[in-house]
Amino acid sequence: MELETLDAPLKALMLKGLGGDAVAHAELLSRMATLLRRFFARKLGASDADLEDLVQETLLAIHLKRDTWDAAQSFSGWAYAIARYRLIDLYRRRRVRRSEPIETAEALFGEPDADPTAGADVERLLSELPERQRAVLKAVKLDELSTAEAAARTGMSESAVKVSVHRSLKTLMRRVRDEN
Amino acid sequence: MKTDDLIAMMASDTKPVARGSIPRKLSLVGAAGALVALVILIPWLGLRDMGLAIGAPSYWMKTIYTLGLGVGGLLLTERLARPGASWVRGVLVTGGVLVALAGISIFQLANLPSDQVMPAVMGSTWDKCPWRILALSVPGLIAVLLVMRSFAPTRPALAGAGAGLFVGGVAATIYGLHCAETSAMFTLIWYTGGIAASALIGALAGWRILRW
Repeated sequence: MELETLDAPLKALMLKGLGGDAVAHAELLSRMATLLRRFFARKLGASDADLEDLVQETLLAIHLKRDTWDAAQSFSGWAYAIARYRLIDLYRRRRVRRSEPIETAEALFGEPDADPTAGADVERLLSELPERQRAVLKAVKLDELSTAEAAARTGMSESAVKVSVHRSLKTLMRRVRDEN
Repeated sequence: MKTDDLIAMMASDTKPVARGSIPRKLSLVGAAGALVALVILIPWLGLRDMGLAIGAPSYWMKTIYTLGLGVGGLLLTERLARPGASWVRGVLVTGGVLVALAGISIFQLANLPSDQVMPAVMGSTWDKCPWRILALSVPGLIAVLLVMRSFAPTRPALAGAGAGLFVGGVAATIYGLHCAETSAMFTLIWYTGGIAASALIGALAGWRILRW
Protein backbone atom coordinates (compact mmCIF):
# COMPACT_ATOMS: atom_id res chain seq x y z
CA MET A 1 0.00 0.00 0.00
CA GLU A 2 1.06 3.57 -0.61
CA LEU A 3 2.61 5.35 2.36
CA GLU A 4 0.05 8.12 2.03
CA THR A 5 -2.81 5.66 2.36
CA LEU A 6 -1.21 4.17 5.48
CA ASP A 7 -0.50 7.59 6.89
CA ALA A 8 -3.94 9.15 6.40
CA PRO A 9 -5.82 7.44 9.29
CA LEU A 10 -2.96 8.12 11.73
CA LYS A 11 -2.82 11.72 10.63
CA ALA A 12 -6.58 12.08 11.15
CA LEU A 13 -6.28 10.68 14.68
CA MET A 14 -3.34 12.95 15.43
CA LEU A 15 -5.27 16.02 14.27
CA LYS A 16 -8.20 15.10 16.52
CA GLY A 17 -5.87 14.42 19.44
CA LEU A 18 -4.18 17.80 18.97
CA GLY A 19 -7.64 19.34 19.15
CA GLY A 20 -8.10 17.76 22.59
CA ASP A 21 -9.92 14.53 21.66
CA ALA A 22 -8.63 12.04 24.27
CA VAL A 23 -10.31 9.01 22.66
CA ALA A 24 -8.65 9.65 19.31
CA HIS A 25 -5.35 10.28 21.06
CA ALA A 26 -5.55 6.98 22.95
CA GLU A 27 -6.42 5.18 19.71
CA LEU A 28 -3.43 6.75 17.97
CA LEU A 29 -1.10 5.77 20.78
CA SER A 30 -2.25 2.17 20.88
CA ARG A 31 -1.96 1.82 17.11
CA MET A 32 1.52 3.31 17.37
CA ALA A 33 2.38 0.87 20.16
CA THR A 34 1.60 -2.04 17.83
CA LEU A 35 3.55 -0.53 14.93
CA LEU A 36 6.51 0.37 17.14
CA ARG A 37 6.62 -3.06 18.75
CA ARG A 38 6.82 -4.64 15.29
CA PHE A 39 9.38 -2.11 14.07
CA PHE A 40 11.69 -2.51 17.07
CA ALA A 41 11.24 -6.30 17.03
CA ARG A 42 12.55 -6.36 13.46
CA LYS A 43 15.58 -4.32 14.55
CA LEU A 44 16.36 -5.92 17.92
CA GLY A 45 14.74 -9.34 17.73
CA ALA A 46 11.33 -10.12 19.19
CA SER A 47 12.64 -11.32 22.56
CA ASP A 48 14.95 -8.39 23.27
CA ALA A 49 14.69 -7.33 26.90
CA ASP A 50 14.64 -3.63 26.05
CA LEU A 51 11.91 -3.93 23.41
CA GLU A 52 8.94 -2.81 25.49
CA ASP A 53 10.94 -0.10 27.28
CA LEU A 54 11.83 1.31 23.90
CA VAL A 55 8.18 1.21 22.81
CA GLN A 56 7.18 3.09 25.97
CA GLU A 57 9.94 5.69 25.67
CA THR A 58 8.95 6.35 22.07
CA LEU A 59 5.28 6.66 22.98
CA LEU A 60 6.19 9.12 25.73
CA ALA A 61 8.11 11.21 23.20
CA ILE A 62 5.24 11.05 20.69
CA HIS A 63 2.89 12.25 23.41
CA LEU A 64 5.03 14.96 25.01
CA LYS A 65 6.60 16.28 21.81
CA ARG A 66 3.41 16.27 19.76
CA ASP A 67 3.52 20.05 19.36
CA THR A 68 6.58 19.56 17.11
CA TRP A 69 4.50 17.81 14.45
CA ASP A 70 3.55 20.08 11.58
CA ALA A 71 0.21 19.25 9.94
CA ALA A 72 1.89 19.83 6.57
CA GLN A 73 4.25 16.94 7.39
CA SER A 74 3.41 13.25 7.08
CA PHE A 75 2.61 11.81 10.48
CA SER A 76 4.51 8.58 9.90
CA GLY A 77 7.62 10.46 8.78
CA TRP A 78 7.57 12.35 12.05
CA ALA A 79 6.87 9.28 14.19
CA TYR A 80 9.47 7.21 12.33
CA ALA A 81 12.13 9.88 12.95
CA ILE A 82 11.35 9.76 16.68
CA ALA A 83 11.42 5.94 16.76
CA ARG A 84 14.72 5.87 14.89
CA TYR A 85 16.18 8.49 17.23
CA ARG A 86 15.20 6.41 20.28
CA LEU A 87 16.59 3.25 18.68
CA ILE A 88 19.93 4.87 17.89
CA ASP A 89 19.99 6.18 21.45
CA LEU A 90 19.54 2.63 22.72
CA TYR A 91 22.43 1.40 20.55
CA ARG A 92 24.56 4.19 21.98
CA ARG A 93 23.65 3.28 25.55
CA ARG A 94 24.47 -0.37 24.86
CA ARG A 95 27.88 0.51 23.53
CA VAL A 96 28.54 2.33 26.76
CA ARG A 97 27.34 -0.39 29.12
CA ARG A 98 28.33 -3.61 27.47
CA SER A 99 29.40 -5.27 30.71
CA GLU A 100 27.45 -7.93 32.59
CA PRO A 101 27.24 -8.12 36.37
CA ILE A 102 28.49 -11.41 37.84
CA GLU A 103 25.55 -13.40 39.20
CA THR A 104 25.22 -16.77 40.84
CA ALA A 105 24.35 -19.90 38.90
CA GLU A 106 20.72 -19.52 39.98
CA ALA A 107 20.47 -16.76 37.39
CA LEU A 108 20.24 -19.56 34.84
CA PHE A 109 16.91 -20.59 36.33
CA GLY A 110 15.35 -17.12 36.24
CA GLU A 111 11.63 -16.50 36.51
CA PRO A 112 9.78 -16.98 33.25
CA ASP A 113 9.15 -13.68 31.51
CA ALA A 114 6.09 -11.95 32.82
CA ASP A 115 3.75 -10.02 30.55
CA PRO A 116 5.75 -9.10 27.44
CA THR A 117 3.94 -5.76 27.20
CA ALA A 118 5.19 -4.73 30.62
CA GLY A 119 8.12 -2.31 30.58
CA ALA A 120 10.56 -2.22 33.47
CA ASP A 121 12.05 1.24 33.08
CA VAL A 122 8.91 3.32 33.36
CA GLU A 123 7.74 1.20 36.29
CA ARG A 124 10.99 1.79 38.14
CA LEU A 125 11.04 5.50 37.34
CA LEU A 126 7.45 5.80 38.50
CA SER A 127 8.42 4.35 41.86
CA GLU A 128 10.90 7.22 42.25
CA LEU A 129 8.25 9.92 41.80
CA PRO A 130 7.13 11.96 44.81
CA GLU A 131 4.45 10.19 46.85
CA ARG A 132 1.68 12.61 45.94
CA GLN A 133 2.24 12.35 42.18
CA ARG A 134 2.37 8.57 42.46
CA ALA A 135 -0.93 8.42 44.30
CA VAL A 136 -2.58 10.50 41.59
CA LEU A 137 -1.11 8.39 38.81
CA LYS A 138 -2.19 5.20 40.46
CA ALA A 139 -5.73 6.47 40.84
CA VAL A 140 -6.04 7.84 37.31
CA LYS A 141 -4.25 5.18 35.38
CA LEU A 142 -3.99 1.87 37.07
CA ASP A 143 -7.40 1.94 38.71
CA GLU A 144 -8.89 3.55 35.59
CA LEU A 145 -10.69 6.34 37.37
CA SER A 146 -11.56 9.52 35.50
CA THR A 147 -9.61 12.62 36.48
CA ALA A 148 -12.72 13.81 38.35
CA GLU A 149 -12.90 10.58 40.39
CA ALA A 150 -9.18 10.69 41.05
CA ALA A 151 -9.57 14.26 42.24
CA ALA A 152 -12.27 13.18 44.67
CA ARG A 153 -10.17 10.31 45.98
CA THR A 154 -6.94 12.25 46.45
CA GLY A 155 -8.62 15.42 47.68
CA MET A 156 -7.08 17.52 44.92
CA SER A 157 -8.92 19.68 42.40
CA GLU A 158 -9.45 18.15 38.97
CA SER A 159 -7.13 20.64 37.31
CA ALA A 160 -4.45 19.90 39.92
CA VAL A 161 -4.79 16.20 39.05
CA LYS A 162 -4.31 16.99 35.36
CA VAL A 163 -1.27 19.14 36.04
CA SER A 164 0.15 16.40 38.23
CA VAL A 165 -0.27 13.76 35.51
CA HIS A 166 1.37 15.99 32.94
CA ARG A 167 4.27 16.73 35.27
CA SER A 168 4.78 13.08 36.01
CA LEU A 169 4.96 12.22 32.32
CA LYS A 170 7.50 14.98 31.75
CA THR A 171 9.52 13.76 34.71
CA LEU A 172 9.51 10.24 33.29
CA MET A 173 10.83 11.45 29.99
CA ARG A 174 13.49 13.61 31.60
CA ARG A 175 14.62 10.64 33.67
CA VAL A 176 14.89 8.49 30.58
CA ARG A 177 17.13 11.14 29.03
CA ASP A 178 19.24 11.70 32.12
CA GLU A 179 19.85 8.00 32.56
CA ASN A 180 21.15 7.77 29.04
CA MET B 1 4.16 -0.88 33.93
CA LYS B 2 2.12 -2.16 31.05
CA THR B 3 2.10 -0.16 27.86
CA ASP B 4 -1.70 0.00 27.88
CA ASP B 5 -1.62 1.65 31.31
CA LEU B 6 0.91 4.17 30.10
CA ILE B 7 -1.31 4.93 27.11
CA ALA B 8 -4.32 5.44 29.40
CA MET B 9 -2.19 7.77 31.47
CA MET B 10 -1.15 9.80 28.43
CA ALA B 11 -4.71 9.87 27.08
CA SER B 12 -5.86 11.53 30.29
CA ASP B 13 -3.21 14.17 29.62
CA THR B 14 -4.77 15.13 26.25
CA LYS B 15 -5.12 18.88 26.01
CA PRO B 16 -5.65 20.97 22.91
CA VAL B 17 -2.22 21.86 21.53
CA ALA B 18 -1.60 25.32 20.08
CA ARG B 19 -0.48 25.29 16.46
CA GLY B 20 2.58 27.07 15.23
CA SER B 21 4.26 27.33 18.61
CA ILE B 22 7.72 26.60 17.16
CA PRO B 23 7.89 29.50 14.66
CA ARG B 24 6.26 31.78 17.24
CA LYS B 25 8.75 30.98 19.99
CA LEU B 26 11.73 31.20 17.64
CA SER B 27 10.61 34.58 16.29
CA LEU B 28 10.23 35.85 19.84
CA VAL B 29 13.74 34.66 20.66
CA GLY B 30 15.05 36.41 17.53
CA ALA B 31 13.35 39.68 18.49
CA ALA B 32 14.55 39.46 22.09
CA GLY B 33 18.09 38.61 20.93
CA ALA B 34 18.09 41.66 18.66
CA LEU B 35 16.89 43.89 21.46
CA VAL B 36 19.47 42.66 23.97
CA ALA B 37 22.25 42.97 21.37
CA LEU B 38 21.13 46.56 20.73
CA VAL B 39 21.09 47.37 24.44
CA ILE B 40 24.66 46.04 24.68
CA LEU B 41 25.84 47.74 21.48
CA ILE B 42 24.74 51.30 22.28
CA PRO B 43 26.77 51.86 25.47
CA TRP B 44 29.61 49.58 24.30
CA LEU B 45 30.35 50.76 20.76
CA GLY B 46 27.69 53.35 19.97
CA LEU B 47 25.67 53.76 16.78
CA ARG B 48 27.12 55.06 13.53
CA ASP B 49 25.58 58.14 11.89
CA MET B 50 22.30 56.46 10.95
CA GLY B 51 21.13 59.40 8.81
CA LEU B 52 24.15 58.77 6.60
CA ALA B 53 23.76 55.00 6.78
CA ILE B 54 20.22 54.75 5.47
CA GLY B 55 21.22 56.67 2.34
CA ALA B 56 24.21 54.37 1.70
CA PRO B 57 23.76 51.29 -0.53
CA SER B 58 26.58 49.54 1.37
CA TYR B 59 24.55 49.74 4.60
CA TRP B 60 21.59 48.05 2.94
CA MET B 61 23.79 45.46 1.28
CA LYS B 62 25.22 44.44 4.65
CA THR B 63 21.84 44.53 6.36
CA ILE B 64 20.11 42.45 3.69
CA TYR B 65 23.00 39.96 3.75
CA THR B 66 23.05 39.46 7.52
CA LEU B 67 19.25 39.40 7.74
CA GLY B 68 19.24 36.88 4.88
CA LEU B 69 21.59 34.59 6.78
CA GLY B 70 19.42 35.03 9.87
CA VAL B 71 16.33 34.04 7.89
CA GLY B 72 18.17 31.03 6.45
CA GLY B 73 19.13 30.06 10.01
CA LEU B 74 15.56 30.56 11.24
CA LEU B 75 14.19 28.31 8.47
CA LEU B 76 16.79 25.65 9.29
CA THR B 77 16.14 25.83 13.02
CA GLU B 78 12.38 25.71 12.64
CA ARG B 79 12.63 22.51 10.54
CA LEU B 80 15.40 20.86 12.56
CA ALA B 81 13.29 21.34 15.70
CA ARG B 82 10.86 18.79 14.22
CA PRO B 83 11.59 15.09 13.72
CA GLY B 84 11.53 14.02 10.09
CA ALA B 85 11.01 17.48 8.57
CA SER B 86 12.82 18.53 5.40
CA TRP B 87 15.32 21.36 5.90
CA VAL B 88 16.30 21.90 2.28
CA ARG B 89 14.74 25.36 2.08
CA GLY B 90 16.94 26.78 4.83
CA VAL B 91 20.05 25.45 3.09
CA LEU B 92 18.94 26.98 -0.23
CA VAL B 93 18.23 30.40 1.30
CA THR B 94 21.54 30.42 3.21
CA GLY B 95 23.48 29.24 0.17
CA GLY B 96 21.70 31.73 -2.11
CA VAL B 97 22.50 34.65 0.18
CA LEU B 98 26.17 33.62 0.41
CA VAL B 99 26.51 33.17 -3.35
CA ALA B 100 24.85 36.54 -4.04
CA LEU B 101 27.24 38.43 -1.77
CA ALA B 102 30.21 36.49 -3.15
CA GLY B 103 29.17 37.63 -6.64
CA ILE B 104 28.93 41.28 -5.55
CA SER B 105 32.30 41.02 -3.76
CA ILE B 106 34.11 39.67 -6.81
CA PHE B 107 32.51 42.27 -9.05
CA GLN B 108 33.55 45.08 -6.67
CA LEU B 109 37.14 43.88 -6.32
CA ALA B 110 37.50 43.32 -10.06
CA ASN B 111 36.68 46.97 -10.61
CA LEU B 112 39.15 48.33 -8.04
CA PRO B 113 42.73 49.42 -8.78
CA SER B 114 45.05 46.74 -7.43
CA ASP B 115 46.41 48.89 -4.61
CA GLN B 116 42.92 49.31 -3.18
CA VAL B 117 42.04 45.63 -3.08
CA MET B 118 43.67 44.82 0.24
CA PRO B 119 42.16 47.85 2.05
CA ALA B 120 38.73 46.77 0.75
CA VAL B 121 39.23 43.22 2.03
CA MET B 122 40.62 44.12 5.44
CA GLY B 123 38.86 47.42 6.10
CA SER B 124 40.03 49.02 9.34
CA THR B 125 38.26 46.71 11.79
CA TRP B 126 38.82 43.20 10.40
CA ASP B 127 40.41 42.03 13.65
CA LYS B 128 37.49 43.24 15.79
CA CYS B 129 34.43 42.61 13.65
CA PRO B 130 33.98 38.81 13.99
CA TRP B 131 34.59 38.85 17.75
CA ARG B 132 32.14 41.65 18.32
CA ILE B 133 29.46 39.88 16.28
CA LEU B 134 30.09 36.70 18.23
CA ALA B 135 29.88 38.58 21.54
CA LEU B 136 26.58 40.20 20.52
CA SER B 137 25.16 36.82 19.53
CA VAL B 138 25.83 35.16 22.89
CA PRO B 139 22.59 36.21 24.69
CA GLY B 140 20.49 35.10 21.72
CA LEU B 141 22.45 31.86 21.46
CA ILE B 142 21.73 30.96 25.07
CA ALA B 143 18.04 31.80 24.65
CA VAL B 144 17.58 29.92 21.38
CA LEU B 145 19.30 26.78 22.69
CA LEU B 146 17.13 26.81 25.81
CA VAL B 147 14.01 27.12 23.66
CA MET B 148 15.22 24.36 21.34
CA ARG B 149 15.48 22.00 24.30
CA SER B 150 11.69 21.97 24.55
CA PHE B 151 11.41 20.88 20.89
CA ALA B 152 12.52 17.56 19.43
CA PRO B 153 15.67 17.95 17.32
CA THR B 154 16.80 14.52 16.11
CA ARG B 155 20.04 16.01 14.73
CA PRO B 156 21.21 17.96 17.78
CA ALA B 157 24.49 19.30 16.38
CA LEU B 158 22.94 20.45 13.12
CA ALA B 159 19.99 21.98 14.93
CA GLY B 160 22.44 23.85 17.18
CA ALA B 161 24.34 25.09 14.11
CA GLY B 162 21.11 26.34 12.54
CA ALA B 163 20.21 28.10 15.78
CA GLY B 164 23.67 29.71 15.90
CA LEU B 165 23.32 30.86 12.30
CA PHE B 166 19.93 32.36 13.12
CA VAL B 167 21.01 34.40 16.15
CA GLY B 168 24.40 35.16 14.56
CA GLY B 169 22.63 36.75 11.58
CA VAL B 170 20.47 38.80 13.93
CA ALA B 171 23.49 39.92 16.00
CA ALA B 172 25.45 40.86 12.86
CA THR B 173 22.49 42.95 11.67
CA ILE B 174 22.59 44.85 14.96
CA TYR B 175 26.37 45.23 14.68
CA GLY B 176 25.75 46.84 11.28
CA LEU B 177 24.19 49.76 13.18
CA HIS B 178 27.67 50.52 14.51
CA CYS B 179 30.08 49.32 11.83
CA ALA B 180 30.78 51.77 9.00
CA GLU B 181 32.73 49.37 6.76
CA THR B 182 31.44 49.54 3.19
CA SER B 183 33.03 46.80 1.10
CA ALA B 184 31.22 43.60 0.14
CA MET B 185 34.30 41.41 0.49
CA PHE B 186 34.86 42.73 4.00
CA THR B 187 31.30 41.71 4.87
CA LEU B 188 31.66 38.36 3.15
CA ILE B 189 34.78 37.43 5.09
CA TRP B 190 34.55 39.09 8.50
CA TYR B 191 30.81 39.32 9.11
CA THR B 192 30.40 35.77 7.88
CA GLY B 193 33.30 34.77 10.14
CA GLY B 194 31.50 36.08 13.22
CA ILE B 195 28.21 34.44 12.21
CA ALA B 196 29.99 31.16 11.43
CA ALA B 197 31.64 31.23 14.86
CA SER B 198 28.18 31.58 16.39
CA ALA B 199 26.97 28.62 14.31
CA LEU B 200 29.98 26.55 15.34
CA ILE B 201 29.43 27.21 19.03
CA GLY B 202 25.75 26.43 18.48
CA ALA B 203 26.70 23.10 16.91
CA LEU B 204 29.02 22.14 19.77
CA ALA B 205 26.53 23.19 22.42
CA GLY B 206 23.66 21.53 20.54
CA TRP B 207 25.54 18.27 20.37
CA ARG B 208 25.89 18.39 24.14
CA ILE B 209 22.57 19.78 25.35
CA LEU B 210 19.95 19.26 22.64
CA ARG B 211 19.79 15.50 23.08
CA TRP B 212 16.62 14.15 24.55
